[in-house]
Amino acid sequence: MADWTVERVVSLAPDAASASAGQGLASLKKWTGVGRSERALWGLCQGSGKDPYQARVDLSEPAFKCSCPSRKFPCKHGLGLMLLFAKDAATFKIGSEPGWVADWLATRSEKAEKKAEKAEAAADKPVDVEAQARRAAQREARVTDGVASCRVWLDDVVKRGLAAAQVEDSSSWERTAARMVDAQAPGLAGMVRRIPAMIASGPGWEVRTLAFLGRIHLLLCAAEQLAALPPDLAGDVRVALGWNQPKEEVLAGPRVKDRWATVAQIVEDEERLKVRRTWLVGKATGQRALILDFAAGLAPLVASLVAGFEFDGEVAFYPGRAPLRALIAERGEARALATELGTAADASIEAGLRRFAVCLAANPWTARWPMALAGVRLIQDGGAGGPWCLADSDGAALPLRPSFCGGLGLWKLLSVSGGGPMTVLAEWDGEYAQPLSALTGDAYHDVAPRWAA
Amino acid sequence: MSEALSPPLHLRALAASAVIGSGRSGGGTVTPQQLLTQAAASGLRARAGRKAGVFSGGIVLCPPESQPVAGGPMMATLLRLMGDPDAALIDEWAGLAKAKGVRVAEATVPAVLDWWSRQPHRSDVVFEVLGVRAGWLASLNPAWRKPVAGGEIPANGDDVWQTGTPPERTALLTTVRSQDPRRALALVQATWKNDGADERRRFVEVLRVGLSMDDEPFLEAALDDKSKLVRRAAAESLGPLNGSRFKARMNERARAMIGVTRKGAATRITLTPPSEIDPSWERDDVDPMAKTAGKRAYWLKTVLGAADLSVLTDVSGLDAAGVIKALRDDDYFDDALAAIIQAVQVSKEPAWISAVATASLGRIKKDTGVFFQLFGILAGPESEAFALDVLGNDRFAPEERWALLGTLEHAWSESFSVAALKMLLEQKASKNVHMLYNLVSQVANVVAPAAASFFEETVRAMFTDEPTDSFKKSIDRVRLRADMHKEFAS
Repeated sequence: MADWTVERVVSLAPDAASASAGQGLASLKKWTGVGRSERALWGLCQGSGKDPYQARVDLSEPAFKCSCPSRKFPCKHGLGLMLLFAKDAATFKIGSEPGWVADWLATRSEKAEKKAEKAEAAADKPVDVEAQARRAAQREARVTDGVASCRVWLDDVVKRGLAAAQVEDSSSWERTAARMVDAQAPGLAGMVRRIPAMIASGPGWEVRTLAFLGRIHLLLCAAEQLAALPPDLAGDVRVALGWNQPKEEVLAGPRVKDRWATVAQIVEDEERLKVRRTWLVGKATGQRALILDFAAGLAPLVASLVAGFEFDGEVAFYPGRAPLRALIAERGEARALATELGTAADASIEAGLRRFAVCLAANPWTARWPMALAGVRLIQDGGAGGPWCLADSDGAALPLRPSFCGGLGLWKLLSVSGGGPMTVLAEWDGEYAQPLSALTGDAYHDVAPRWAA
Repeated sequence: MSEALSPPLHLRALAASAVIGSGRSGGGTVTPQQLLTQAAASGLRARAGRKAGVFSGGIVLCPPESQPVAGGPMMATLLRLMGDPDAALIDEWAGLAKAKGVRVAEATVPAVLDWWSRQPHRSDVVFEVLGVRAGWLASLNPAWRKPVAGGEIPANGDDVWQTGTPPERTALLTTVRSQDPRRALALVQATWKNDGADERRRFVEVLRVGLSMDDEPFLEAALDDKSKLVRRAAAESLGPLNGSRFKARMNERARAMIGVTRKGAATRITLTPPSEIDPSWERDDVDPMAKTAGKRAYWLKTVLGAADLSVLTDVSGLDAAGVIKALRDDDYFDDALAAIIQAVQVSKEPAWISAVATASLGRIKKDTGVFFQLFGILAGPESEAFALDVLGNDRFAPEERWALLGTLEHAWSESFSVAALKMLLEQKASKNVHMLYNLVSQVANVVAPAAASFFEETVRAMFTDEPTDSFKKSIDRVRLRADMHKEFAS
């Protein structure tokens, strides 16, 4: 069973209000009939309804189920029950599962089996090649149109000059982005949406913006001759365009088996969409993987993937020359992350930069790269008041994203390290590092925003 | 592409023409696509070829901590408190942690420190349980390095005094006064002539800590200040200062108002305030123009309240209880009692405290204000015994009982909590739900955690149905406190 700490359970909450409400319920007085088995926790919590709510947690995932009417997931009862468990596991006596728990677990197992069968059946089923080709052709035609219109727009921006773009109404970028979404190229839309922030990024904005427009241009060039590209490069182009292969196809492809560590997680808002990036590091292969989860509107993100754990399992990468985006194909039981990444970590900043360069050489559209820097510490370049950097023992340093230094994350890193060396997992975009988590001698620390603002 | 330039330089050159627009930069030989292709190549090379920076300087390491980190359940409670920070509960947590000799876990220190630094009243105990790293982090973060009273006197103290902002100067003065009272007085005197009235008043107030006869000449002179606020502050400071000229004048004035008649064993004290006062009284903040109706009573109250209580015992030859008894039939008894209570708040003589407490219980109608003052004088256990007497007095309505309890701000003992709540349980709840809510939530802060269940029972008894959510919050609060104490006890 995973080592659930209060902080880890809190990180499962769909939002800050649920986290707080759940903590309010993490007291034995609020519960009756709490118990546990090898696989599950359960308990009854008196709410405002007549009958107490039946809360249950499947610890193997974790998964939650409660009889309360809340639309939040997991609800405060599930969180409260699990927090109570994290605080004081001894309160939960091992016993036999009551009917309402056993039934739910059985349904879950059944569903999982059915899903596996279905997947198998799908794999065996003769593919309707014609229909598939028709769909692909349709999509390709749309994307091709989108790429063409993006090309016209991009040429126009450069012809009129970045100074003109600077005074452009922000809605004009959004219009272009929306056109790209319609053309089923959400990746391209995301790139267009980043331009206004680059234009407003202060000194050096024009260099930054031009380099980024160059990157879009390169993607358009590649997309225009997609059919002529080698299959793996075409795969990278498709991922960059946001034209993803169906999950089943990815899962049916080759897999990488390893002990995977969920080293960091960050949730960001993107156009009414919550996007969660979970970074994995394979402890034996040293391979990095990015798991993306999306949730629209108020819907919660899948709760089962938590940072600071490791599991034996298989990861399937989206095809490409430098595959990074991936799906978890098979996952064993999760354990708290041991605090050493060993050879899977970047031994120095130079080594981390080299890994990034290798990745860029294969896939020039890589936006963020996960640095897992061992033995780095925080310093202020030039002494007190200078910009904060991550520095290694070789005397090399990476600047930290200014917005990160304005938040509590920097101070959390300082406090847990006491100014000494630690392992930091940071997203590197080629200009700034944004730390997401840290491993110190004895613990895993999350410093990324847990809930999208 | 110009190979002579490094990728970043080349990119910068390209950007310069891109700002104007490829359509407008001289000659028009470069198409947008050519410009973009060059930018893509240069940008990618710059991105991939980026070298790590070389840094200079560093930061001082955090000194080692001497205390262990609070255990899981204790930290879980603190994390929960930080979700919706409440100063009283966080203070209570910190008090428990300090008593147990544990500190806040490293990862949580910045959040607590940040919250703490933005509080109007920063409690020392919270800062203490953040461990050594709190001071270390504050030394690195200018936002946390605000003027804090207490601690070391800064080396540039005199500069701060001459050039600092009013809050900085007040903080400095408070610090200096706590460690070197004479130096603090010297600081105040050094800039007194140029300081504004508001600052002068504040400084006089700061000097009340560690007050001694050394300060008397300065304060006596301040009675002639051109600002009424400053004169009043000086008079209030001099009142409690035994041996001051101010006190001697007040004693003299009080003595002139007290008359004693003896009939057999019975002694009577009669009070005769003057019908007009000498102009010199005004200098000691006795207002000659006070409300015309109760002018004489006001003068009596002011003078008697500022005089030594020993004047009453000396003149009459009676002890404290005897003085109260001998005053009982006087027309000015209520005013005298109020004045004596005021004086008791300064002198804190046990004989007087018990005498006025007894007298108040028997005499004053519906004036709960007196009890509030008395609770303020009494120490914890004494005020509890007295409060039970007051609560047992059936003159009070339930909401008045709650109101009285709400003023007892010390941490209640378990036996008092149970006894007080029992008395309330027997009462029907007040109709004024809003007031009751305020009082219940005040009591929720101080009631003994061990009496949590009984508190809940008492609050539930106010409702025929389920308590409303706002009352449930108080129940939850007491439960949380009870859990917290249990966590620290184990």
